[in-house]
Amino acid sequence: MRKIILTCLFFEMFLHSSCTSTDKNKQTNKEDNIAVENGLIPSNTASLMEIKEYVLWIQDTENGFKKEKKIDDLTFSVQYKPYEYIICEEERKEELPDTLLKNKILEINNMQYYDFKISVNEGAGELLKHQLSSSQEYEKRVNYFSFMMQNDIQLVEDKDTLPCALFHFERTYGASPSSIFLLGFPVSKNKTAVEKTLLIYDRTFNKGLLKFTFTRKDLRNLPKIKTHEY
Amino acid sequence: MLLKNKILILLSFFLLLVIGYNVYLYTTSPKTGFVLIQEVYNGFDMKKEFEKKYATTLNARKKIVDSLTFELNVLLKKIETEKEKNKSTIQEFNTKREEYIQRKKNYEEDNAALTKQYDQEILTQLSQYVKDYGEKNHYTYIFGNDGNGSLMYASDTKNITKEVLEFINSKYKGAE
Repeated sequence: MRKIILTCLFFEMFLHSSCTSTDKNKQTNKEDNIAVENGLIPSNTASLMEIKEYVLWIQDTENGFKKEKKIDDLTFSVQYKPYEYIICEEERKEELPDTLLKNKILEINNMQYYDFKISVNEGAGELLKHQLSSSQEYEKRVNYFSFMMQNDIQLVEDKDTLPCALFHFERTYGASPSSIFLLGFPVSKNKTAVEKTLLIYDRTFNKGLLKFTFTRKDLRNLPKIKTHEY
Repeated sequence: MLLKNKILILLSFFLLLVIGYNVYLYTTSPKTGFVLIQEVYNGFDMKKEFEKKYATTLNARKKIVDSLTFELNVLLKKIETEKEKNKSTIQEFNTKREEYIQRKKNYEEDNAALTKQYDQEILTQLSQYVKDYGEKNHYTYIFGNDGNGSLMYASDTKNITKEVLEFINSKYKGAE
């Protein structure tokens, strides 16, 4: 008899807890959304993080804001840089005032930014000298990386294909076996968190078309940084 | 009663031994699978995209060559119908013909080079993604069946073509 009563009680508790959680869900769905640069993120899912934690989170490949592709002897990676991330990297502070963050975002929010990196997997030396056949080829590569490569990069968002409007090649002069390219694209008219696919045609190392897709699901998980009022 | 217990203990020990041996065999034996190379190659999204791109380039070049052929034919007919052969028309025809020959030759060479380049780029990425699949799923060997006799027989249960194709297309998309 005691067992039956206990089972009934447990069942009732289970039913009650599941009903209340459904009510909660309904309530949060009605809540306002928090607008972020990627679109609209429901307030209940946009988590708040301290600056250090936020930067590490964005740089972690598991969270979908950094994509990596190892092909043969090279690794290609793309870091999507949300505005808050750019400001954290620029300011290099552990705390940021809310007003500063908002003002800085206004300065850069007419574009969207990515870092594209090519690294040699084994061995050191300048990437530009990797599998080089002649000195003329070296000059050709420098010229291509500095000026022409921009034309081989595009960003696809839904039906929009956006050209690479901002391009900068960071030369390392042999200090590192990798090269970084800073990329900027116009902000698409569609302000919601759509899937973004970066297309890069590699003409230098004959790897062909490289695609990096930032899924809608990952973009919607973008956290916000904890700011402070001064 | 004691004898019965002893038999039970012995049987349990024997059973454990058999299970242990099977687990050992399962963990140490190489994991293998095979793919139908043609199916993987044809189903690879990069190959499909490059095929379309190549067809567009080929068509554009063909149109240029066709219009040159048409112009040459018009000039030829003009020369044939003229009673007094006009030197300038003949010169124009010769220049056009040279241009036609040169362009056709260049396009043929470029088309062959483009096919070679695309094939190399596709195979580089394809091989890498199959390797990634093997590593991720702990395969010791993945064989390629291309029907030339290098793989004479394999059980259908070892056919991982579908899984590999899904994986390589997802890798190519770069969503992982």
